[in-house]
Amino acid sequence: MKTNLLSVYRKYREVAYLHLKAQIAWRADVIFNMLFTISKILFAYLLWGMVFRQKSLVAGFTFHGMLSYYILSSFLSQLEMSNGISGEICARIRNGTFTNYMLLPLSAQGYFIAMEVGVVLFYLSFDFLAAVVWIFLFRIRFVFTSDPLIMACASGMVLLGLLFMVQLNFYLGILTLKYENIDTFLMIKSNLAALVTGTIVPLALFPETVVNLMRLLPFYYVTYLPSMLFTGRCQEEALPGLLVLAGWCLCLQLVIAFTWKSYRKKYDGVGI
Amino acid sequence: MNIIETNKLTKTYRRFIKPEGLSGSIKSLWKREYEEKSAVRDFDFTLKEGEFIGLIGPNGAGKTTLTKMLTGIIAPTSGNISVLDFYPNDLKNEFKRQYAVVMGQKSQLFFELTANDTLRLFKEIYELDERQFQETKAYFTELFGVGELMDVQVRTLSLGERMKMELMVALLHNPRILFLDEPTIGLDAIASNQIRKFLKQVNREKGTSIILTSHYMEDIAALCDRSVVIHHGCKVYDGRTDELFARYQKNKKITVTFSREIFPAEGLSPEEQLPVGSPPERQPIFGGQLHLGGQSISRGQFPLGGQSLSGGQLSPGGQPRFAGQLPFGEVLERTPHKLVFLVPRESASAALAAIMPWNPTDISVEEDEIGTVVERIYQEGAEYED
Repeated sequence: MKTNLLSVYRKYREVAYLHLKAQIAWRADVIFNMLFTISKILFAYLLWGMVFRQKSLVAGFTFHGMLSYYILSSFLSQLEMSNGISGEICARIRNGTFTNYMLLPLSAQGYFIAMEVGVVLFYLSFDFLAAVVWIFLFRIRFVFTSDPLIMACASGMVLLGLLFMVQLNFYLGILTLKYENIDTFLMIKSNLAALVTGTIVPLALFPETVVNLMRLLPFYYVTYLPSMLFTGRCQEEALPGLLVLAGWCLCLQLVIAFTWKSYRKKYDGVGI
Repeated sequence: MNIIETNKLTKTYRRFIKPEGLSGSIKSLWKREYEEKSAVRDFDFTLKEGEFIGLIGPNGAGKTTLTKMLTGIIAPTSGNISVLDFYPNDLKNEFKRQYAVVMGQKSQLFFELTANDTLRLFKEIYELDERQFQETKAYFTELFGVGELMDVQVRTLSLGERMKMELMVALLHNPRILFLDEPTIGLDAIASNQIRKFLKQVNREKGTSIILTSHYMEDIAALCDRSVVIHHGCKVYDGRTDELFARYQKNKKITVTFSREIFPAEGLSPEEQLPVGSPPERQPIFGGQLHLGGQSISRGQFPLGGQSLSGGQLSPGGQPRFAGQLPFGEVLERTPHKLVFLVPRESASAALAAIMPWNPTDISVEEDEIGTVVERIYQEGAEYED
């Protein structure tokens, strides 16, 4: 049978739809998600409102600039939901159900990317709703870049960032084929991501050389830099950032292909 | 035409051996010992298009490993394997489109969604056109009688209904080979029978070759013309299922019911309560070794054989009653009106002939219980292995 691009697209589109449908299956989940997103808006508005009552500028942000950054970064970080992929692959390899993906005429990695798209589409709708509430209900003067090139770079960076995180989590997941347990790898990944994004130690405390080296890592470009770009900041980092992230995606894809080919043959699945 | 061929197929696993206790755990941190275990050894096997075969073996025999190699999930350690002219472990999409796997304990369905949703996904995955999809779906919906269940959340279906949906999803793309692993596990008798009926029909009407792995010998006996028995990774039998069962069905259980009280219920010693043998004009009939109340009797040695009906005791009502030892093998149950006994298979017809003069009202003959047969098959497999 001849497989064309259209049928490949339809195959993965259906996977995405299926997982989107699965997200909507439980009404209580949908309602609580909606309430959670809206309540987050309210708390952030109140908090930043209090902070900006004393000052008109915080770290170079105006009240509306800060709220715009908050909307964008929380929007993007909520979209990045690929953490569960590695755990799911690991559990499925260990209980034997990962074979379901090996037996179907599609790429297991493609399946997980499409699955992530389905899940993201679900949360995207809530995030979008949240953004609309922010902007119209609270009359936020949304600070957004007007430069189409920066906008394009930031959008591309968001897509590549999401792709990279799915790739990374898929890669860590398939390490189970050889190592059977990936807890240590997952710990290293989350600590590294937290370090690079300044969650553990503020980046300002590191020497500039170290910070520059960290910027060669991809995590910086997943949510932080696109949020800054969309709000009209760090514009000089747009193109280099896009290139760095694209380079990481490409390298990781090669590593995945090699690892998958080699570890799949080592897989025994004894007793399952 | 052979669609599966394996030659000296072998799969060896390496497994970690940890000495007992905490010290063993600590030692194993820097020095690990491994042992090699052959899950499948020098396995030669062929499957013709359209065949329905059963793969039988105890837990750990190598059935699942063999199936995993045939489907490409794992790579063999050595030997040759060809399935539909592909090397399975290459996992080419062209190959994967031609078979399907249903594992009783590994669902392909999405529990939060409906069977229709999963079918739609599989339609796209297998690149079926809409007409083909609708036709096949209609065929199986009718065959399985699940029309009203297609839009119901899968998690609310019964186990039997879910298995029908699993089969439907697997068969949607008309695979040439269907690998079934314990499809009736956990199902009640009615659901199991339905599944067997569907499988038979699919094999007959669609020409789908089916490899069935099951511990339920009822499945194998009812469905598979050919059986392969695996033990410790080796093939110990490959041939017709009826011949396999004939070889290991050693006894028959005969239940005889009488309209009158033919065995005294009380007042006699255990020996006296046993019925006498055949009428005088009949010759000794039983071959082989029989067990009578713990006593072994060889061919022709019937302690009370030749005693006639009239030689038995008479009941108070003047009806003839039996006394003495039974030359019919092992008595399993006896009531005043009923006798259940076990005889060697080859002696069953003679035993029935011998019992007829006592004018029974009903006789039923059953094969050995399937569990007993399986035990014998595996036991012989182990001896073969040794």
